[in-house]
Amino acid sequence: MKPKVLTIITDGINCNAETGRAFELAGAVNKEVHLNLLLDGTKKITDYNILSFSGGFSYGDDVKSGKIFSLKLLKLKDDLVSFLEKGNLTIGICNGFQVLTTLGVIPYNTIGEPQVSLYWNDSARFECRWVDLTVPENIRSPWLKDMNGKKIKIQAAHAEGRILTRTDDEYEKLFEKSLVAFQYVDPSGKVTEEYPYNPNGSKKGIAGLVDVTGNALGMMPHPERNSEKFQHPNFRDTDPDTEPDGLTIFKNAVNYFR
Amino acid sequence: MSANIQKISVIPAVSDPKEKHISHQIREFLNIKIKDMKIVKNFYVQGIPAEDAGRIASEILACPITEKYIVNGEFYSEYPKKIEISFQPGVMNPEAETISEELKDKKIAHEAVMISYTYYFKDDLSAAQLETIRDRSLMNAQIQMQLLKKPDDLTVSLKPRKTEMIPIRTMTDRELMEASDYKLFLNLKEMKTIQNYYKKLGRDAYDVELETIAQTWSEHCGHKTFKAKVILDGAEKRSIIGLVKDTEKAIAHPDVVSKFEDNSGVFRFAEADGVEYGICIKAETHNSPSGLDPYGGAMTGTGGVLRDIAGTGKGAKNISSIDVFCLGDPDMKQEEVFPGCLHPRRILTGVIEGVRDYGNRMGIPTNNGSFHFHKDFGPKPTVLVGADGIIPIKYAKKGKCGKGDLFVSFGGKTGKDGIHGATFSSAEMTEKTSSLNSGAVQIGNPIEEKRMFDCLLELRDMDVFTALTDCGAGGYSSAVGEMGEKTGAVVHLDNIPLKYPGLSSFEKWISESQERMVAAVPKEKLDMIKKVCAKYNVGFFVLGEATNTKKLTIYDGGELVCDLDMEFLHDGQPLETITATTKPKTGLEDGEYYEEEINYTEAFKDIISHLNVCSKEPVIRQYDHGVQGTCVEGPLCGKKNDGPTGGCILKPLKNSDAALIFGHGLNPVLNRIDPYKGTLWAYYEAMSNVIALGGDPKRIFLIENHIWPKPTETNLADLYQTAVALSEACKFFGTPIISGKDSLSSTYKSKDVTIEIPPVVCVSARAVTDDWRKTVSPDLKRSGSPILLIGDYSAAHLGGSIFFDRLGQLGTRVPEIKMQTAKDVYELMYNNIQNGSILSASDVSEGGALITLAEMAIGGKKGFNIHVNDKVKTLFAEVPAAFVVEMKDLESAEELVETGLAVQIGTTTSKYSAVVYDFKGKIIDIDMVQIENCWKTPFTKYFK
Repeated sequence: MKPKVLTIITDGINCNAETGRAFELAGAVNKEVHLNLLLDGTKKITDYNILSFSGGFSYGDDVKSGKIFSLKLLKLKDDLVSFLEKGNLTIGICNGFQVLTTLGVIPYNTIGEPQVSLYWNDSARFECRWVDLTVPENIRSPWLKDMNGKKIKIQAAHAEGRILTRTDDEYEKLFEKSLVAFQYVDPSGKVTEEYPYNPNGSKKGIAGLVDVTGNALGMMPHPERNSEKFQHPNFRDTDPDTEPDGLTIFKNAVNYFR
Repeated sequence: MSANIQKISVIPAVSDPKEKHISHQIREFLNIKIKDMKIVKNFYVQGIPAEDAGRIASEILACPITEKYIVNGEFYSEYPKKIEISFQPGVMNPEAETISEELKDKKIAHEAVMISYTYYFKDDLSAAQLETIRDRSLMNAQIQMQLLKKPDDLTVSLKPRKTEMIPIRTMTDRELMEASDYKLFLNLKEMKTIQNYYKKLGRDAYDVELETIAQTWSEHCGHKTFKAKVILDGAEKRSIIGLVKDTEKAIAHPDVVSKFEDNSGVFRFAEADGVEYGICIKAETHNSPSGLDPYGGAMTGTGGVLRDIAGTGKGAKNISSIDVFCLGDPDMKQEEVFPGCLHPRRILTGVIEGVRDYGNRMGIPTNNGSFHFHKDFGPKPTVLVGADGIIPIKYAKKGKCGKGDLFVSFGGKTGKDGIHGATFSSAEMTEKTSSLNSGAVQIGNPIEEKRMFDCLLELRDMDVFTALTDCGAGGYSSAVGEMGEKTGAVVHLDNIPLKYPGLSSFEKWISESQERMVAAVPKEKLDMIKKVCAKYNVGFFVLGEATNTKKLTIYDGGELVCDLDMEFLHDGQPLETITATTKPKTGLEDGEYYEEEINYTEAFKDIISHLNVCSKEPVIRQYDHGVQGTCVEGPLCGKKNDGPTGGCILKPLKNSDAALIFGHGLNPVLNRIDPYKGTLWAYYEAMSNVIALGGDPKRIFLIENHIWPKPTETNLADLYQTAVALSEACKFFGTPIISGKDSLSSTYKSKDVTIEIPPVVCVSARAVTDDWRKTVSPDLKRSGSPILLIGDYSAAHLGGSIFFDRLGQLGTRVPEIKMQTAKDVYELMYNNIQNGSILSASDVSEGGALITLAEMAIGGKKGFNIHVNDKVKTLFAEVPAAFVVEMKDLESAEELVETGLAVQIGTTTSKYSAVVYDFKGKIIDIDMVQIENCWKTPFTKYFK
């Protein structure tokens, strides 16, 4: 079966086209639907297999990144809950990650009660750069199948990407519960808090998280920007037969429904 | 009223990186050693009871994890000093609008929302220190103000002014000019032409009419200098626009779809999925607003040029944004900053933040640009913003309006923003400008623009539009004036949704409020528009309709306020005659240097750390250059993605391998020596940029931008020479210029001084190549590869070079090349990139060939060994149409050397060092890590 992807667009979302493209390359059917059509009932979240929140500046990142979008999504809480309960997949990239954490889907499926926040980069500004990530050994998620321990290269582009929790214990819990999906690594391959390898200063290099079921993935860097060969910053030096790192993530999601 | 304004203050519960950043700026650049500063964000909401404020704070305004809030109270009340800053009433604050919309969505009735920031200082600062911090770091008095107490009323309303009748028929010359000054910016000849028109009509003029004429005839919209008759040194010459047209005719490039007739130029690009696509290109300046408010100016400049692309034909999709800045010395002393002007460092950081915040939020990659520093750009910076779009060829041309077609306006509401922007930008700046013309400055709202663009593209694909255009300079006046030019138009100003009540008729008509576009559509399409606009949260209304009267007729509240003949409006402007006089350049001296006294290593380090050469990575990183997923080569390249690319490469269509290559060239200081050769240099730089990356010399399309000091006779002669130079080069190389814009007012005048900028000719180039795989990047790829210098060094002069600048000299001779040689070089480059012989390439530019090679080495983390004979010129001359290339093997290198156009100067090495020999021995042997540091460090300090 070709899974159906629902890409929700609204004011300020701007990575929807390339994210949809990456899903298509991976073998999914991508549908872009404006939030207004979900709010007025014309379309339903539960008619799709994968829910995709792409990057951008929803509502200008006003008040706080992801905040206004997540407030509007609260109106669709019942549909969201039944979508998640069915074991469907969800991804939030960059602004989408900010939305999913602000909404409370990631990490603990506590919709309306956020537990993790993405706060301003240490540098106090937007940064666009290629970063190296590692996938922790203990994480289990359909999105990251067979990727444990692997190193991947993806572009990050954000101003608010530093993971924060209310307490240090809560931060530790993210590791204890195996919710950490990606960590920034330095050129030697070690998890890093050092700028610029870690562009935002996230403690212990957290770059992405999953929810408690593993079905929802949120990440700051943009896998859709490394899902075709020409996008790789050193494509002239890389083996033409390697699959782009970002594409693997989208393919994993598609294969989950096969 | 103040009773129902609730103040909600929010602070981070964790350490605030913005406090760190701003404190650093204050310590570093204002030399005030503050130790402890806190920032509090305040939201004022009017028209809600106090008990609702807490709910709004916890549900909407404050993050439960990272922030704390207080209602009608104060954090840090123990701090002895504070400054609270907000936007002035009426200045667009997108965030306040978002909050207001969210409150409406939550059915919370309210009257207004305002946001302010309070900066608390634990240090006991003097009043003078606080004022310095306020005026030079925290606030821009053009658009912001200090709040000394809680505001009483946040709603804005103005006293409406009735439309005035101007007794223009009876005015004396002096009265005519008084009426024009600081408002219409027309000259006496033009004012008298208008006077005669009304004498013939036998009535006085409505103010709306005069404003409309002034806007249409402004230099900004009317390009009067370019259309003018030219008398050069006593002989009559073709007008500049005439020269451009002749050039186009001579070239007649088959891929040009439209040129100089629409909001941007369009050329054929590639086919994908059975649809033929074109690329739209445009660049324009936004100098005056950026000089007054760099952030808002660069923002609205970017927003404007993106709308130009979006409003090409029946609508195009933006795929790229570029920016070029010519600025004063960012390290200049505060005491030397001219009255009415901002410090160049503030302009530098402000314009970057403006481009960043607009482009990034729009989701349009900013991937090409440059900086040029010269002290004389201090008071009048050049801020050039450009954009590219992609459009199916079938939508690339506008249709003709017919009687009854509606003019539908999309997007934002109309306020008093930017009144007189079009006319003001054509005027020279004086000390007075900053206080008299504050209406010219505004802030942009990219989210409004983004949703409008998405909505318009969907409507375009439903084939709704006859024509689509943007509201730029001149607002509705220019948009409707252009679309209804051939038919006539009737407009109802009372249909316009206003940001606040009280705008007079002419203000509604010429307001330059951002994020608005106008389409001409057949009446029956209105229902489709309604549906799609509702989906995208985009406002729209019917502004008026096309007629067959050939008149521009405007009503406001049922009253006639304008009744002008379209013909007079568009063709009535008296043709100017410009008298231009060539004067030999005085005060120039040839540069002097003694080879034996040069420390080549020091020269290398100095030149690579020069502000015009050094790495711009701290800026590039702030721009999203990867969004849309189209980037083949971004502004940085190489192993660690830290070498400069020069240009950039995009693959804009998902199902086509065709690539679009970007480059541009300018070197203002050369135009002070020799505007003809300086212009050719800029042309070659743009061409070489795109050819170095693999562009096909036969498929290159150009934009020209002239940013000139005020047109004196000598300046005009210089300007004419640049037009001639461009025309000759374009004809010779067969490269059409399909878009362009001029700005001829970059002179600053105060009581004591007049400062002219070094004249800017910026040539932007776009090249097409069919396969992105057949491009190259500049970073060195291997060790042991032959390094060639390609080009002709027989006229490798040093005039205007960084080498001379380092010695405090300018020089008299601009480096040049014979056109035929350049053409041969370009062919050679293209063929050898296509056949894979060239592994990496970069064109010689500011700093010279050694700098070019060093930058390639930084990208590839390889070193080099080279041998040079004519040391200074080979290493440091900025020769046009010259390239440094890395060849795949000796055999292919020898082949190129045999052509006589190339010499092998050395080889790449695995050791990361730069080694240069002359015939006597080593003259440079330095670790490239050191050179890399010299290159990377200078720009970082402005962005800590």
